[in-house]
Amino acid sequence: MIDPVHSIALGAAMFCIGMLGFLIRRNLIVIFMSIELMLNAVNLNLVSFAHQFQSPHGQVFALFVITVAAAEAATGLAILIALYRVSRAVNADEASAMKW
Amino acid sequence: MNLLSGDLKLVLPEIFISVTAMGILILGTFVRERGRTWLACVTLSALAVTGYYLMTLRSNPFHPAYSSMYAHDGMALVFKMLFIVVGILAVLVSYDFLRTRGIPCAEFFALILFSTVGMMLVASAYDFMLLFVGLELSSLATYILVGLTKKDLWSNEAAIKYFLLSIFASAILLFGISIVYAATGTTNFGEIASRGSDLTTRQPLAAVVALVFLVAAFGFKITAVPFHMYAPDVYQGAPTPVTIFLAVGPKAAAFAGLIRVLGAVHAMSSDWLMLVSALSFLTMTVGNVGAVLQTNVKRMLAYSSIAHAGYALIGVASIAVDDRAGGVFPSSTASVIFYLVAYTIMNVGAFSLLMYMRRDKGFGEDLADFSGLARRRPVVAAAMLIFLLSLAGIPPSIGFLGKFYIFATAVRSGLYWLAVAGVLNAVVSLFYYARIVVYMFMKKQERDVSDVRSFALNLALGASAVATVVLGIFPQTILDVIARATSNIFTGGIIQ
Amino acid sequence: MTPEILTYADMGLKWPILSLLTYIPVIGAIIIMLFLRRDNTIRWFANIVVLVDFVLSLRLIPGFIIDRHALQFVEKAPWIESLGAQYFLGVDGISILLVLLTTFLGVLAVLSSWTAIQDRVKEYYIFMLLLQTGMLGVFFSLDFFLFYVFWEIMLVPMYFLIGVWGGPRKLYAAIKFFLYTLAGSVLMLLAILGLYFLHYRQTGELSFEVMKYYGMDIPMHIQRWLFLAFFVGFAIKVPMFPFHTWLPDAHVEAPTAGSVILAGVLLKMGTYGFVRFSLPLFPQATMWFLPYGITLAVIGIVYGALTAMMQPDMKKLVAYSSVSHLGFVMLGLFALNQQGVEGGILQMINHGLSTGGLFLVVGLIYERRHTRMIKDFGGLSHQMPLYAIMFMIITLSSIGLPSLNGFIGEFTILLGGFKALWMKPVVALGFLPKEWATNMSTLMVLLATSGIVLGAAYMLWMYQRVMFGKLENPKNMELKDLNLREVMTLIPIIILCFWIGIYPKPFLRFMDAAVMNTVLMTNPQAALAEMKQMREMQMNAAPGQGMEAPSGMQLPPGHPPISMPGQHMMPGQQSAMPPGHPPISMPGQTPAMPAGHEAMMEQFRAGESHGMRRGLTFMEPAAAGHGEAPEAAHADPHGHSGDK
Repeated sequence: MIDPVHSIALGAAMFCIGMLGFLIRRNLIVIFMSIELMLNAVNLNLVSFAHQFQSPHGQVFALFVITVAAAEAATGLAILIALYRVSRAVNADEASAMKW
Repeated sequence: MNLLSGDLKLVLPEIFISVTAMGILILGTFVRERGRTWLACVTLSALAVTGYYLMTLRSNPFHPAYSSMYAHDGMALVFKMLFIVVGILAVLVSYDFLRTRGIPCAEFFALILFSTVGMMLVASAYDFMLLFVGLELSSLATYILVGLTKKDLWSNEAAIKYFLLSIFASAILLFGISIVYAATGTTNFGEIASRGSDLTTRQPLAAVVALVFLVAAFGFKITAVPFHMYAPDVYQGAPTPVTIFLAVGPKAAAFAGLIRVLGAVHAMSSDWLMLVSALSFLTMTVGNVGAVLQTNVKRMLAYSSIAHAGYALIGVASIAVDDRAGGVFPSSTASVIFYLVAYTIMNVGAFSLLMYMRRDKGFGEDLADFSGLARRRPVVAAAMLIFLLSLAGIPPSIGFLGKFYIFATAVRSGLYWLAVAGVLNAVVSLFYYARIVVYMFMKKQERDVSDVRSFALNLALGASAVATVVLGIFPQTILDVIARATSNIFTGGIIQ
Repeated sequence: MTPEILTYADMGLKWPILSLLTYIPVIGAIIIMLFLRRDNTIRWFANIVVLVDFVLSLRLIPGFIIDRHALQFVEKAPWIESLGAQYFLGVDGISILLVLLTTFLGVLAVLSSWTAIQDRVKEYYIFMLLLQTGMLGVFFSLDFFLFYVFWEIMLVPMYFLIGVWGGPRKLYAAIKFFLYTLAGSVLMLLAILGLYFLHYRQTGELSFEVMKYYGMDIPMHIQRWLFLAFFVGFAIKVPMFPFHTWLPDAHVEAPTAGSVILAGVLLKMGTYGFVRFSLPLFPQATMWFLPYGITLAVIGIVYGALTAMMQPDMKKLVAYSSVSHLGFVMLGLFALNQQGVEGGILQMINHGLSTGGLFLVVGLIYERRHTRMIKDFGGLSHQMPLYAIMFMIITLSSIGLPSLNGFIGEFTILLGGFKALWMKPVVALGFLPKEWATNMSTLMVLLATSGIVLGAAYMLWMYQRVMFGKLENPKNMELKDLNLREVMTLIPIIILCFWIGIYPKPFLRFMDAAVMNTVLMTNPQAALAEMKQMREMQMNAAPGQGMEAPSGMQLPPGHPPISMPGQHMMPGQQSAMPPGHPPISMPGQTPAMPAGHEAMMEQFRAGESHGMRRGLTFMEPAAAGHGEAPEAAHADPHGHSGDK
């Protein structure tokens, strides 16, 4: 059995990397990738604990997450393309016409 | 087989609306723009039929469907009715707008319907999986809705901001869920409540992390401070009908989810009350102060809706303290639901009034665009006055009653300082609402603004205005419905 | 301790008159909004509506029961069951005069706006009528929820009246008014909720009925907070120092009719709320607060007067004089005895009349010259003699000249104030200052009296600068005197000023029973001691006249007043009263004791031997242990003894 602390640690590490990427990087596509990384970290958690508890719940949930992530990817990239068409911006800084 | 068909009857609303949405998409390819009225009518009738069906459905809190994932209790029914109303209002309000902005109407209506389905699922969710799916479905639809005016820079910007931040929040939510799953081995709310009851002592780190992440994620969805940053930009940039939908629908759904999740993790950590109270206080204050600084009415209303989430959070905090109905006095949950109903009506009204003024190629959104409205269109100005007074909490309006209930539950639960903060915030809020009134009634017209005439918009607004005043004076029916519903919450034995 | 409740049916009426009175203006407003277009039609219609309302309100007078305290013309219907809020309207002695004042001033205010308002006439009259509804609703409400609803409804039309038809700084003044008053109101809301839940915890019943809250057992620490919350709400409205800063701006910028209603009625809501709610609901907290309250009231009197003296703007001068006068009213209420409270309520009416009249007068000259600065005038009495006369009478009424209404009110208040001090037997007190509190009180009343002198000073000085002297300013030389309509707005006020000043008895009689009830609830010792004193005076003056002294005080509830031989003041008695003082008819012909006071009467009789030492101790909160000791000194009137 894998030590649960280890699986959580890995999941948490991946999640943090993803979060950091989201907050720091400027390119919108990289930001998006970071989010996917975060979602995968969650999947990892879910699956490893499903294995721990010998219960299918976590795995099913992980499937749901993957599906939803795919849908969101499609939507998000479409929005990105629309934005690019209008403003030619791919950096987060340039997409800030609205002020405080 | 028997069980399946019984459960099927319960989810019929969601299935029906999804099928209608897909049907509209298909129909839309054939009828294009000429069939706009038809499509709108189909949407409206689908919603109306579902609403009627919901009213005839009796709630059975002891029979959760689909392996205890789908709770069919009074609270779910009430929320679903609310979402139906939101959907109807959104369609009415946007009808003429779609034509003038060239937005494909079939997609628009279908998206509204899909989002409604998602929200309804959230209201009934008794398992994290269903909650997640519902939340994401409703959000996905709104991402597209926000960006639907593809040519508009601001709309696209709003869409990408909203999308990224919302996905971020979903990821955080998921991580919190995974921690809860890791700690308790289940995603069902009832099971979590029973298994996780002493998590704080057993695994304090897990409890804290889960708590923080869940609160953060839900805080984002309900635009609580400090997770509210996206809201002013998104509400301002999105096309106004979408803002209307966004401000009332997904927010109410998130509150429904929050209440259920609160019931589940209630025993897990004792810090809920403090956290929610702090959140509430911050949200009210920052929302109101932010609104005071604005000159763009749409942005001002965005901040005001942030503040209103804060008031509703006072009710949620009361739930965390105790959720007993004191005699016949409504419970804290009931007061939150009632406040959400009032909030829906008021905000739909207030935001919709922005659509009455067209300026250049867009809509009049600044304070100056409102100047002299009372002379030009007295009825519209009067309606706006009603909504603004209701938002500020001045009787006789449903907004006053909503705030009254919230403050009453706060006093009853012993959250005195929160009540004082809430009450003083209400006074501050009057300051910026009154500014709009000043421009409408006490200043001469300054900008060149042309008028919009739309029957559907008038209908939606008229109904909202009448409801605001009439329900403010005779709220008894709605209160009864809500009270009966909240005494009927499927708890699995958790909320007392 | 619920008083008698008489519904309108009980009193012989077929129609719910109070609801009619309240909603006639708003129905008129709706009619104007939907159907009327031409300015002149609207003017006539609005005037007729308020006149009808006034005449209808006169119907409240005949049949009004004055020999005992009762809620009359009551309408009671459930409203929001899950809250326990009811639609509960009623009048009693405290509110009836204020209601009549409201409808009366409403007529005059609407009439005075005929030529003053030329722009957006329709909305103006709509808001005036809405304001009438709100104000009447406040005075009639006996359910806290309903009261609060009407209290807040009132703010909106007033805000619009100031903000749309006001002077140069109208927007600032209007929003200041709204926010200030709203802040006080919401604090009051929290206190109402506190009372509501306290009541529920004690009786298991959800109710907002004010009468049910009287006599509730509220622990002192909670009582203080609740009292303060209510006090802030009311003090802002009165306005008391230091919450008065919204008033000068609001008054100066408001249109004339708005000022008349604002000063005449709206300010009374604060004092009314105080008498109706704060005093009877929180008797111990009131006692505790007395030193501070009296200090604030006196500061208000003197500060208001001094500031008024320095104003170059007539309207601002009158506004500050309002602060001063209402400080007087509060002082009377704080005396917590029959004279003080009655004087306070009467002075509310008087202030409404005289200050309303003053604003009308200032408005008249403003309409002609569009300036209110005193320096722009001078010698107007040559040009406008009729105006000069009316102005003078109203000025004298405001000052408090005997034979006019102001004097009656002020004198009664001062009487109550002094009485509150000297109720202790003179022997025990001597002339040596015993406690600081007592000294403070004497000082306070003396300062208050000086307020009267200052009042005369600034009013007469203003009058002199405006009306007397040489007519120098060429713009003043063409001024026209008053026309018929303008005279008609002032004559009723002048008539009432004289009436109340010369024969105030009918007005005072309305209040007697209700005020006695209030005083008994707030300050039982004073009331009982006073009754005892009256009895003793009568007994001493006519020994062996066969007066059944014991039975004289033991009136069972509902029993009609016993006519004693000493019904009128004994001749020896009368000479002891200062001339011009209204006959203290009250304790001698005691109206029926409110129900539930049997125990107290017994105790009182038992404590008789202790004589006047049981007398008024309210002025020594420090010595008496914040109101608890007097309660412990004799059995608690609420039927249970001992500490709370």
